[in-house]
Amino acid sequence: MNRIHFIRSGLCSTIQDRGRTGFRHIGVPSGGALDSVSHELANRLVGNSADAATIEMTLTGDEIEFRHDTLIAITGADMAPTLHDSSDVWQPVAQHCPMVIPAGSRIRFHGARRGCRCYLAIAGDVDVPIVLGSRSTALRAAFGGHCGRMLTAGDDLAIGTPSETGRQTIERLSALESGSGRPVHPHWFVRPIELPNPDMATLRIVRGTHTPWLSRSELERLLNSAFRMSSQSDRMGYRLTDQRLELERREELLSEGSIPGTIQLPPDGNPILLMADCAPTGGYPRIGHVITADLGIAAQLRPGQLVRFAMVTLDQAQVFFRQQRQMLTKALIMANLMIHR
Amino acid sequence: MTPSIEPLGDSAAIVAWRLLDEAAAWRAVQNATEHLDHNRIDGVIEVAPAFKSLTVYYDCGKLAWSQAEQWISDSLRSVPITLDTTQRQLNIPVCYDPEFALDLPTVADAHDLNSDDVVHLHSNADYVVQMIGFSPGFPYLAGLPSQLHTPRRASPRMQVPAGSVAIGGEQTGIYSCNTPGGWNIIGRTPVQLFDPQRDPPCLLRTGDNIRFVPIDRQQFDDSVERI
Repeated sequence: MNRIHFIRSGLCSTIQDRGRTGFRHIGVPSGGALDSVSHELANRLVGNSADAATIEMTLTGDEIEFRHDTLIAITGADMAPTLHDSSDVWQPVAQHCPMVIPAGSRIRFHGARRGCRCYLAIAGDVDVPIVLGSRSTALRAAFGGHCGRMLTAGDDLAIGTPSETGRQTIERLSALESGSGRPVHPHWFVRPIELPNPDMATLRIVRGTHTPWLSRSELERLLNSAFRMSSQSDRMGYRLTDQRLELERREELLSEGSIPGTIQLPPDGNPILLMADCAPTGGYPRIGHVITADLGIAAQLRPGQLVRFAMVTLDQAQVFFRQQRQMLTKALIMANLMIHR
Repeated sequence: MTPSIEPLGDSAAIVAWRLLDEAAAWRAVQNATEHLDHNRIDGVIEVAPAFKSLTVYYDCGKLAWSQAEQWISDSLRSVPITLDTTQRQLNIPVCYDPEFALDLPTVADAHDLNSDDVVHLHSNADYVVQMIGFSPGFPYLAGLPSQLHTPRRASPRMQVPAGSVAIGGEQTGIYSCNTPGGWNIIGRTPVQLFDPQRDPPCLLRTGDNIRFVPIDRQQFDDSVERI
């Protein structure tokens, strides 16, 4: 069985898949890859199913040793990965395409030059147990993924058998340049969505239940000011600073449902953008929701960077999501044609 | 009473009975949650209850808001009034030892009671699990005697140990995982409320009747999980 070995680990590297469903009624977060588009793209480029898991790295990446020739794909944030052979001679590694890594070599992921979260998919999928219907690491409750925790130096992960599509991709790529001991990749890449502008990102939002509790001027501030993503930001949520918003009404609320993308306004006035590991319920007013199509962009925001919000209608939000799915499907069809032409 | 149906972002809906009193809203939520969950159509992912509302999560690639809303309002018309009244009675052992009960003095002082009074009041009341949430397996319990209602701490603790029994406002609850938390901790149970390897993973269900049974430190240390 193929294995990969972690020589060094990044800031927060976890195993994630599409997340869990069916357990929110007992307080279990959905979890899953924060940038689900990059996650799915990586999986599909190596012939994995949409349910497969990837390794999600945050801001700084891991150093991983590959024991056998392995088909992988790297998507999302640009961590300037380099490939090192046994005598530490290195070369840059291609991203956003399928690639065969020669046995015995290591990939070193560095600090993210752009974006925040990088995804590594391995043909055959990461072989960790399914817990509550998913392989995603639930960090707070400490279950799922690899031992319910972040990956760390010394960890060794078993890799499953590549799918038929994966095997064909390996054959095609190996025909390009066989036995050279170099990584083999095609001369194209697919990137269906761009990483956010590192200076000023824009997230599209829809109204929340308590948006009417903002006065006209406060609503304008929500839509026309820049918020800074604080360093107190993780997979549960991002604290946004630089602007304090006030509500016209102050009421203690009973806890109600939340979803990733929800923008809560706690009493201190600094909004919190909830992400995939958020609790399924919350008691703070909801002043808006980042649309599903933009959650992948939110996942790539970097602590300290500025972000602004643009209001769209619910109908538009849902259309944007369907368009994004179509874009991803087209990109994957193109990639498939390029590999197997 | 007809509940409100409102969007929660672009891929969920909140169905709320906010104007009903607590008990009536709670019954409506339980009934409707079960009914909607059993009659899910393609594109509806899951249904989860809260206090006076429930949340329907759907895939906005498969269902537009108008379709989700239509399905919810149609389904709500046929909710049977068949709440399972066979509520379980469970005893949860709690050790009120000072080492665990970090905020017991605060709670006692706030009500001019001594610590023994607080323990006596807390362990002689009947509680009902209203909701599971906040973290996996965390039960929100109704039925806290009014003499023990205590506001949350001004600044939450960064880490509350799993099993901590705590008071937050009018409610009491049990921290099911090691998490940050702002409730006043008055004891600890050796019982594991959430275990993803167990089936079902969550020990308690909404509607369960709960009593807290005081145990001493020795019993806590000796206790193997059994309930």
